[in-house]
Amino acid sequence: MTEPLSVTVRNEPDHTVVVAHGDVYFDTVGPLRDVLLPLAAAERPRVVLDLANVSTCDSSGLNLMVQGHQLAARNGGWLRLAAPQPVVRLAFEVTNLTRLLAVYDSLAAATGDVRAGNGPAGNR
Amino acid sequence: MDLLARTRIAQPDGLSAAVNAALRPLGVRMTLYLVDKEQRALRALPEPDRPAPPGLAVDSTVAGRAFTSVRAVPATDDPRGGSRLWLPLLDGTERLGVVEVTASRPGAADAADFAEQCDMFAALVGHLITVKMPYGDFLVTARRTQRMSEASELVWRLLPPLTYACDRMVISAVLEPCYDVGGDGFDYAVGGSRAFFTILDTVGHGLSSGLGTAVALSAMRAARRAGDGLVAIAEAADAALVEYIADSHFATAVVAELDLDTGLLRYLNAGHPRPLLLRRGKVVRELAGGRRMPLGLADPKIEVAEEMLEFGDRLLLYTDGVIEARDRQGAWFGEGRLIELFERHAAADLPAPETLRRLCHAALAHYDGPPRDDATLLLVEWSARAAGTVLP
Repeated sequence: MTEPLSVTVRNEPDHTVVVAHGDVYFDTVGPLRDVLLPLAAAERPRVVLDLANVSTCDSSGLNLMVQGHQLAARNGGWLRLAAPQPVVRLAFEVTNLTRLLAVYDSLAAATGDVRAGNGPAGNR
Repeated sequence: MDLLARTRIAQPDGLSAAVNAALRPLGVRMTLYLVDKEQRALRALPEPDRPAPPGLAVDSTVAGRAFTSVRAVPATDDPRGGSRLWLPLLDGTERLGVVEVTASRPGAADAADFAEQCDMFAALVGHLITVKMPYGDFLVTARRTQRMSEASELVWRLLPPLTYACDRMVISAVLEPCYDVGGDGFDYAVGGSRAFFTILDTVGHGLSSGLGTAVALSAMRAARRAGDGLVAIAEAADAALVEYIADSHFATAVVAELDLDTGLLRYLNAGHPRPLLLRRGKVVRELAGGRRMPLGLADPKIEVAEEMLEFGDRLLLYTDGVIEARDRQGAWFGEGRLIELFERHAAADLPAPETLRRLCHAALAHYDGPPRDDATLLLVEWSARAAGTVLP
């Protein structure tokens, strides 16, 4: 029933895109945690998590995104969440985590201002 | 009085024998059955020199009917007629199991007030079971059908009894999977005209989320008992989670208080599914206010929401594991089905704990295999009539 999670990383000149594929659950989140947290722990990290291919996400997934966001912010950078499907967006909204996490409708919206060198903005 | 004297130094495993020693002069025997944690079967307490009778399914037996309806039920299969009786076994209004009463001497059951006398005696037995429970593992394990996880051991010790009733209110809760709780929990406290209640769901699985629930519940209790209001109670949980629980583990929660005089409900919703308000048999709306981020993530934008309840209203609070049960085809149990069943059980006027037992089992049955998340429900009924449904 639950789709295993696969994760790929694409290094752009001025940011890193992490693409997740599958369901983010307490028992599938491992590969994403192993990629995301080290990236967020770098100096002035600029990380975009592409959620377009994530069909569902439980609280363990949300927790990882909060952790990544807090870690990145502490290191002077940011984690942005791009293109969540409706079910995942609903999870952000029900939990009111849209007040904390930077959620963008698309990958382009999440990275549009990067070359301008801006820091994190609010929800797009 | 004889029973009280006998049980003062009785061991937990000596309770059944003490009960029957006290009853012997009256020509009556009682077999005590405790309901298992999952509330599916009634299991007889083993007694020395008496083989334990087989367990009885709650859903399909006369004994089960006494348990679910909280009413005395005559054992219809008894050829002597009227001399055998099933009674609910309660601690106050907390359902513990049932008592099988057998009049061992002809004529003992003929007294007009036989059932009433037995019921008063069973009420005392219910209290004694609760009193003796913590002193050993006998009564605790008598309610278990399998080994309990570390997290479950921790969380169950922190929870109040599943059901409480006073003259104007009933509050009841259910928590599954009871032997393997992740991070769900609940609490309540009633005093004077104020009823406080909360339901929460800590991120993650196993002992780490159980620890988060323990920390959040304890912090909220400490704040509440120090006289703090709702905002400060939630902030106490924020601070404790940040300080003591690693990896930004947060907990979604509803934290609420109901004024039993006026019906004014004040509540905060820390990223939790919205409570359902049932009025005159229909779910009229979700309570959508009081939004803040989950406990453990300080939120500068906090405002307490208010809702004026009508006498007779019911509030259903639940964790996402209830509606997010998915069957083999991937279909959610969903809020719609929860509402439909909630309304149906309200129409049948089921006691609050029985409503929750059935809602919870319906959600669990929807999972394809073992549940992937905790499922907790908490029901608050603000009415004078509700208490009558949980009393024999």
